[in-house]
This record gives sequence, structure tokens and C-alpha cells, in this order.
Amino acid sequence: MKVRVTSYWLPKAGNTQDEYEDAFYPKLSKKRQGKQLHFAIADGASESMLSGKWAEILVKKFCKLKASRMDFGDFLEKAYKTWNFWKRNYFDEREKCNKPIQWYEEMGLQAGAFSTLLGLTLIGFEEKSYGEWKAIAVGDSCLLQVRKECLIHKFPIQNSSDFNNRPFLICSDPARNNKILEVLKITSGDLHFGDQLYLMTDSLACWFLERYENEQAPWSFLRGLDINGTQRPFELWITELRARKEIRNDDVTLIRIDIN
Amino acid sequence: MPYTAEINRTNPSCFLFMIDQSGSMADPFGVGESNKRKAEGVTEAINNHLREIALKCARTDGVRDYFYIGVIGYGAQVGSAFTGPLAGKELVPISDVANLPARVEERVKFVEDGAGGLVDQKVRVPIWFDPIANGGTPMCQALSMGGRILKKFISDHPACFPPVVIHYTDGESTDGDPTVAMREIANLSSTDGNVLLFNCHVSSIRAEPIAFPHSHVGLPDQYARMLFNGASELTPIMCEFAENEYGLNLLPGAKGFTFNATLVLVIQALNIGTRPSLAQLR
Repeated sequence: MKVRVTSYWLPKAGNTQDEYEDAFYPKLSKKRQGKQLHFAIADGASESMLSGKWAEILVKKFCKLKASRMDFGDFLEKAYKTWNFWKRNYFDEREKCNKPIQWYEEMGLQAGAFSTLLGLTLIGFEEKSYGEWKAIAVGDSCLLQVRKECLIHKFPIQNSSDFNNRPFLICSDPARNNKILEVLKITSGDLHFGDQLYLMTDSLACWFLERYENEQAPWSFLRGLDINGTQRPFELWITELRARKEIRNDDVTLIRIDIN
Repeated sequence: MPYTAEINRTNPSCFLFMIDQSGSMADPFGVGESNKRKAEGVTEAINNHLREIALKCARTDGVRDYFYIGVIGYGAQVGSAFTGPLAGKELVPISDVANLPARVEERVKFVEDGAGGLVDQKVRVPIWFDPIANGGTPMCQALSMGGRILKKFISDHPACFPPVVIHYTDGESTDGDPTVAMREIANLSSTDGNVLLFNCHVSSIRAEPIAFPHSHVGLPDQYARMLFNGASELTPIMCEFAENEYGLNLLPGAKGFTFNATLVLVIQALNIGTRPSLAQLR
């Protein structure tokens, strides 16, 4: 299976790049090929401490562990382990720099970091020009599949009105994930040559579904961003949408996958 | 539409807490489950609430200045109620509130262990001010000071999400009729709407509490009616929050006023007054 991957990201207006708390993997925009290809996108909750780092751990672990083959609980165990290792190092570094953890950081970290996760695995069939995909989701990061100018799959959110400020989230503290398997969503679909898959975090996904519900083809806007292989057109476009209040001011992430 | 401005570091908002610290605040709450002295209950609620606001603004890079905070106490003296490094400061960014408490106490709390049990966990709890109950009730002077602080804040941040004032009192003003001073505060406005004034009456009277009424009918005295009249109408988002969080089915025109508030109502008023603003954080 051969695909072309293009990724875009932008922090909230008013925030720096260091303050971006979404995550996606793989990071590079390029052509990829293989029997199984893994992609993930996550949206770290702004209100929790270090949620951007937790989101990053989740997307990397999903792809590197080929987590679609694993029990989700086992996947989470490995993610917690990486998080705890990283957190210990972070505390050590702070001590070394003479910047001890403040009370509000301690409380925030005790509450845990929170993030959505959408993981996608593409599986190619040998000698054939089609395949299948499997996806898992916790929260409101979305997968949208377009075939021959038709939106054929929306996952896990079906309508723009379904977005709210309280999506299900994965916590870095296992004690707070008691019900995670109840809210985990799993789906699959088939892949044809020429399909496009879009992974996006909530603000852009909400815009996309609103446009679609108004009988427009929002994917045509996304295709138009692919100029000179730079992020700039995406940044300008999102800035315009924010200015016109067509999109919520939030971190925005988009992965576009073209099946070649 | 008013009360929709985004709160961010370039367009912060403001919470101003005004606390009656007169001698009668040493009495216990009149109703409710708590035997706590009113001064202790209100102080603890506001200390806890400042902590929650700071936590809401805490990010990996530190506490972001989404809000400015003032705490005015009035009793034997009128002025900033902050103690410790912030003593005497009228309005401070939330990062200063977070980083400069008067002290940090170590406490133990019980948290779920994820396997159906509880484990104890040490937590450091910041304290910004202690209960005081002393002297008369110079409410007019305090409201006048609050108005001056808010006027300056709005002048510096003309498009801000409107400041919210939470005023706790248990008694009659001893320096005149505060009606005009309350009206002046509630009439202050940014381009996003008027300042929202909550009057929370904490009493030792053994009478049924009244929460967020839409009319003064049924209020027991002229003084309660005066505080009701001075309070702002709750915004639609506040009413929605009150219904969703507390099951309060408020009527149109419901005001930010509580009479004979229990400790539970003290905390409800704080949450209804501040949480909708926190939802505007970006």
C-alpha cells in the first residue's frame, strides 16, 4: 500500500508554538508505503498540566506499538509506564535547575494529564489496489473518509452538534480511567485507490461537519491547502476562519492521507 | 452578544471578592449543616476558590494571567485582605496569586486508588488570608474602593469579559446606604457587558435561605431588599450552569443574590459567579 501523508498544525491564536497541546504522529509529511501503516492524532486538554506531553506519548505509543493489534488496556499500561518514566525525569530536571515543583503543578499533576486519542491503521492487501482500515477513538478527535467526492465515513462524531466541551478523555492516572473501555469506540472500513482520509482535532472537525451539513464539500478547501508543501496556506486559512468566527479558537491539527 | 468575550492573556478578566469582616462574622451560620463561624466558612470558601482559579490557569509553562484578582475586606479596616507577600495589593494577576500565597500548608486527602479503595495523598494547600471578625461594617467605603479598582481595570481592558464581584456580608452597613455605590459598580461596563455583582447575605438568623430570587417579594426586611435590588441579573449562561450543576430552575430575572446563605450556598454562589467566566478561557 502506498500513501501520501500531509500534516498541518497550528496553536491557538495568542499562544506560542511551545504551547500547542495537540499531538500527531508520524510527524513528517511524505510518501509512505507498507503492509500496515499507523497514524494517530490527539488533543491534550488545556485545563490539565502537561497534557500536550501526554497526548504526544499516546500518539507515538499507538503508532510504534502497532496498537491496533493489542488489547487497549495493554496499550494503556505501556503508555502509563512511559508517562511515569518521563514525569520522574521531568521532576529530576526541575530539581537540578533549582525550579522546584510548585503547589499548583503538584495538584495539577496529581489530577493527571488528559487527552483524546484517535488511532488509525491502514492495512493493504497484497497485489491489490485496495485494503481496509481500523480505527479506535476516545473523545472527539475525528476521522473522515472521502471517496469520489462523497463523504463515506465519519468517526466517532457524526454531527457537528455532537461536539461539546466535555469529550471523553484518557487520563495519565489509571485510577481515573475506570470507564475507559466503555467509552472506547472501534470501527473499520474499506479502502479504495484514490480515497482520502482526514484525521483532525475537534475545532476543525466541527467546521468540516457543519460545512458538510450545509451541503458543501469541505474537503475541497482542505485540498486547496497543499501548495508548495508548506504550512503557510493552512495557517492563513485557519487565521481567516478564526477571524470570521467560523471556527473556535483552539489548537488545530490535520493529517491528510491520500491512498495512491 | 454580551458575555461572550474570549478571556486570554491579552484580554484578561477580573474577579473581585468583597468580604464583610465585621465583629458579627464571628457568629456561626444560622442554618445549614455547619457549625462553622461565618468568617471561617467564607474565608475557607474563597481560599479554596482562589486555588481553583489558579489551577484552571496553570499550564505547563506556569500560571497564565487570564484573570486579575482582588480581595477587599471591610470591618475595623477597609483594604486588601491579602496577607503575606501580597499584603496591601488591591488587584494582582493570577500568577502572583498562585506564586505568592501567605503560606502553604501540608494536608492529607483521600483519593481513589483505581481498585475500589482509597489511599491517602499529601497535598500542599495555599492560604492567602485568614478569618477576621472585628469592628463595624463600612460597606459604602468598601464598595467605593471596589468601584475605583474595577473602573481602572476596565479602562485598561475595555473589551474584557466583564468583571465579576462576589460580595459577602452579614449585616447592615454602618457608614450609610450602599445603594448608590452598588449601582455604580453594576453600571460599570466593558464592550462585552456590565460588571456582574453578586450579593451574598450570610446570616445567623434561623430562617429559610433564599437563593437567586427573581423578585424581592418574600424577602424579610428592607436591608435584604436593598441587597437584592443592588445585585445583577444572572446571565443566561449562569442560569444554565445553575440548572445543570445544582438543579436550580431559576426564573427569568433571577439575581445574583442569596439571603441567609448556608455554607453550601456560599460555595454555589461562588461557582455560579465564576465558572461561566472560566469557561471563556482560551
